[in-house]
Parts: sequence; C-alpha cells; structure tokens
Amino acid sequence: MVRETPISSEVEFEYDSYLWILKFLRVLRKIFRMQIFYQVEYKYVRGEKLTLKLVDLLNENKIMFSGLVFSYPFDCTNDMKKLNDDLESFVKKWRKEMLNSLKESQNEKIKLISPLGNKLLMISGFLFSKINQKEVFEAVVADWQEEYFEALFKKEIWKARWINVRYTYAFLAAMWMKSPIGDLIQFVIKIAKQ
Amino acid sequence: MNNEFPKLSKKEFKILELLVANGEMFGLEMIEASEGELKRGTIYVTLQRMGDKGYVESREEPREHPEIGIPRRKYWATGLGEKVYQTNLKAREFFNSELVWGGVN
Repeated sequence: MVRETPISSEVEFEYDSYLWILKFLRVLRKIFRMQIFYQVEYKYVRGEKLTLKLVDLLNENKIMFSGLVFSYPFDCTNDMKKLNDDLESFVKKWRKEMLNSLKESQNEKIKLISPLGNKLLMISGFLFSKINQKEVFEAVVADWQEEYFEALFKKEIWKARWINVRYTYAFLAAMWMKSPIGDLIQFVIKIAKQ
Repeated sequence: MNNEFPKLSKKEFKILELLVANGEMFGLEMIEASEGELKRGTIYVTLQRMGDKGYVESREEPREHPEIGIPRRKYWATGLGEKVYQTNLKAREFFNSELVWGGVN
C-alpha cells in the first residue's frame, strides 16, 4: 500500500557564527535546487546549540519531509571551503540516512509528497495581498490539510483523494470571489438588493 | 446615532448564529455545524469581510506537537457582531410573527 505521509526535520548543530547557518542553507539550496522555508527556533547564543527547524522543503522532485530529528557533530573551522565540503557531505549523508531510516521503520512503500495546496498558495501569493493570503487562502489550505491527514490516518485513501479534488475547487472558488470580478459581482448583487 | 440598519446576508447570519451559540470556532467546525449552508471555499472570504466590518475577530491557533501544517484560524463574534446578530434575529422573529401576518400563512 502506498503511504502518503508528511514528515518534518529538525537539525541540531553547533556553530560559532550565525552566518554559518545561512551558508548551510545555501549549500542545501545548491545541492537540492530547492526552495527552503525555515524557522529558527532559538536566537543564536555563542557556543550554545541552535535548533534549526526546516519546514516545507520542496524541490523539483516534490519532496517534503518531517518528523525526524538528526544530530550531527560539526567540525567548525574558519576554512570556508572545508566547511562547505563538510556541509555537503553532511547533507548528503543526512538525506540518505533519513530515507533509509524511513524505509527501515516502515515496511510499506513510502511516497513523499509536496505540501498540500502549496502550488495554489504560490499562485495566490503572487496574485493577492499578504492579508488575503493569510486570512483566506492559508485558512483554506489549513482545513484541507486537517481533513486530508485525518482521512489518511483512518486509511481512507480514496476519501483523501476526493478531499484533494474538493479543496482544489474550494481554493479556486475563493480566488474567484477575491478577484476584482468577484468583487464586482458582489457589488452588483448589493445594489440589486437595495 | 447610526441610522443605517446592519443587514446580514444568509451566510453572515448563519456564521454569527454559530459563533454566538458556541463561542470560538474553527472554520471547518462552522462548515460541519451549518449542515451544508456554509461552503469550504467561500466561508473564509465571508469571514474576512465580516472581520472588516467588525463583526468577528480571529487568531491563529498553532498546531500542537507533533502535528505539522499551516496554523488554523479560530474565530469568535465581537460585541458588535453579537449585537448585529441579535438585532437581525429579533427583526426576523418580528417579521414572521402574527403581529405582521395576523392569521395569514
């Protein structure tokens, strides 16, 4: 049975400069050619561990992963090239180990999927304002995810697929209503009622 | 004094009815409780418009660990929203009462 399960990643490492984190992300971007949305859990304090929570990793091959905590000791040096090499090998090893551990922990076939509604959110993010994006479109996708994962949890795969269809339509309907044409129709209805 | 009567559409009335009765609710909960009156695509547009009018407010409710995903929004009726709802409710009750229609069905 194909299991569509989303997973998230937390990576812990020690750095002696916050700039290393940005370089780390640039390496990830370079290796995977992916867009990265990340959230820094703690403010950097020199010498203390920093947890970087990577959420919604996407790439051309549609990968999203979550739920795995991976710790890797770093050899921090001032040599950028060496650090970059270390980072590259770390990320490759991390990705390989993560996928292997997923396969080992579950005997079923694993399918990694992109976040639900992500492409539609990208379109709406381009066309509409941030407030509309936050209050309308993200709210639709949040409900979408809620219903979808609930169906998956109950192993109702076909229901989950139907939910995808239904919410795609709902999202497009919301975009239509928020568009200038939708506003115009609303205005005409308001005038007609008076 | 405000001379404009605050009209509510059918959907707005339903939303306020649910929020006044149940306090805070998620959008999906309102859809399920409305028994088909409120639709998934349009409820949030309506809620946003009601928010602009001051009838409802909302906040993001972060997901509990280990859940992941976009945080959901929780909505509640403001004082103004409750007032508008009660006004519209009384207006409907009066309109449907015998005082208006007498013995006519």
